[in-house]
Parts: sequence; structure tokens; C-alpha cells
Amino acid sequence: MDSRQAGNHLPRSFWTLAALSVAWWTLAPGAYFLFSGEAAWGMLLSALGVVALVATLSNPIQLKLEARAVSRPLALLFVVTVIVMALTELWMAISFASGSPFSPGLLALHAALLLVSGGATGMQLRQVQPGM
Amino acid sequence: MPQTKAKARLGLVVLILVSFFAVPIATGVLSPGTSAYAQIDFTPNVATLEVTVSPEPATIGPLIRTPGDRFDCPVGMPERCRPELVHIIGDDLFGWGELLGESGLVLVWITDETGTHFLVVSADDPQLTSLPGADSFMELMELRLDEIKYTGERIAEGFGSGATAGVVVIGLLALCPETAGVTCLLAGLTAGGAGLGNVIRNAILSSQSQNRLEELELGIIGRFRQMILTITGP
Repeated sequence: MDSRQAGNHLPRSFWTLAALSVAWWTLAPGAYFLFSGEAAWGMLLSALGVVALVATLSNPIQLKLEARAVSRPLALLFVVTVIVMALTELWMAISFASGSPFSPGLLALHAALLLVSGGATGMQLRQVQPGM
Repeated sequence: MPQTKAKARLGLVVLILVSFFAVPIATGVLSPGTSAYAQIDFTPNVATLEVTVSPEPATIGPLIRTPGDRFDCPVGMPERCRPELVHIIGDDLFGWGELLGESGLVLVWITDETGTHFLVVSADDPQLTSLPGADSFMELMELRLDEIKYTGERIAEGFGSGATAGVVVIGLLALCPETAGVTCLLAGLTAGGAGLGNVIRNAILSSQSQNRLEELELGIIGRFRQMILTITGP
């Protein structure tokens, strides 16, 4: 028996990529901030990252998310948020001086991967199943 | 598609088999033990060497540093050139520290496009400690460290705001019932907008801070050159 309710269902690949994007978005800078002395943001981002990583790897969570009927515009908003934030980060990386103690290369790498994962998550929205 | 998978699996198996032999050899685990060498019986046929005591050579003491000593280091490896210091104020690019075992002498360094440049100065050099009407090397260094800390805080806040907004939106997406779509969308838009606003604010502030940091570093380089001129000048 199909446990799905009527409404928009997002494919599992969307949830996996979305959780992976959030994990990359939060865990990598969280770990960096923990080591660079920004303990408060470091702990918050690391904790969010661990939760996102668990959601990425957990089969039961993914199944539950896949079965939920969700608002498609909200899913679109998430993708837009990821892409806009990644672009802002890229701009920050470019504006940093090359001799800066903050590595613009690392920042650009993080932003680029976030941009790719955000784009890939957005591509999954094409497979949204309309209400049954 | 199954053929590709089978090929990939075969490649993986070959890689693992090869690594069974390659890794222990590469890491030295499979190198011969000492017992292997102990089996060789070698009796040297060499006449006993008569040893005569030769006079002791003159000992060469440690390198003595004096104010005005300078040395340079190529770009990217300042920690290899730097002698031992009691403590370090600053980082690999710009900083100072008291030379270990030579109280009263301080090593200062700056970095430009040609590499890192070191200079030994007296600890009571006014250009280093305090200058009337101008910032000394130490004061400029302190300002630079404050600016770096400020930039770090802005970057962390920017990251935190952006990521938190993203987490709120995905949380709403995962938890909101579809029937409350408009309400959740408005909440998501508010979170996203607030997050983006804070990211942009912090990005602008950190960009301005970077400009101030560059100015401070130019000031530090200028003070370093002044110190060279004062020490080595007539």
C-alpha cells in the first residue's frame, strides 16, 4: 500500500542532494570556525551539519521525506536561497586580497561546490510528482 | 550499463589487489627486518688502526645576532627560515617575537610579493615599541590583529546567517503541511530575506575591513623600512 498522501512529492534524489548541500554548507565552515576561534558559530554550524549529514545517510528519514506532500514553491525557494548564498560567497572570495590571512581559494572552492550542489538539487525539481 | 558496472567492479578489485602489495612496500612495512641483516657473517680483514689524539678544534659558537641583521625567505615558507622565538605575535606574514636565548633582541618580519623579510632589532627601539605622534611597529601589528579578528567575526556571522536561513527553509519544507503552503512560504521568504540581508551586510563590512587591513599592512611595511634605515643608516 502506498503511504503517500495526495499533493506534490519531491523525489528522493532532491532530498538527498538538499541534505548534502546543507551538510556541505554548514559542516565545512563550522569545522573551520571551530579551529579558528569562532566557537559560537563553529558549534552551531557543525551541529546543523551533523544533523544534515545524518539526514543524507539515513534511509528511514529519506523515505519519510519522500512520502510527504510538500509545497513546491518552498522547494524552489530553498534552491534559490542556496544559489544566491553561494554566489554571495563567491563574490566575497573574489573581493578578498590574495595576501589575506583568510584563504580566498578555500572560500571560492566552498562556494563553487555549494553552487554545483544547489544547481543539482534544483534539477531534481523537474521530477516533482503532481497530486494524485 | 551492467557491463560498465562489471568493469568498474573489476577495476576496483584489481586496484585493491595491487594495493595489497604496493602499500606495504611504499610504507616500508615489507622492508627486511634487522634479523635479515644479522645472518651475514662478515669478518673485516683490516689492520687495527692506531688512534692518536689530535688537538681539539676551535668550537664554533651559536650564530650571534645583532640589531640590523637581515635575512629573507622565499614566498610561502617563512616558518622554515624563522629562528626560534620565545613567542610569536602575529602570523607567518607579519609579526614579531623575542629571539630565544637573546633577551633584548626582537625579530620582526613582513611579507611582500618577493617573500618574507626578517630584521633583528633591539627590544627598546622606539620604532618598534612606541613613537610620539605615530604608530610603532607593535601598535600597527596590534591594529592588524584586531582587524583580522573583526573580519573573521564578520565572515563567521555572514556564513552563519546564510546557512541558518537555508536550514530554516529546508526545515519548513520538511515539516510544514502542504495545506499551510502560503504561510510556510512567507515564513521561508522572511527567513531567506533576513539571512541574505545579513550575509550582504557582513560581506560589505568584511570587504571594508580588508581594505583597512591592506592599509595597515602597507603601514607595517613602511615602519619596517624605517627601522632598517634607522639601524643601518649613518
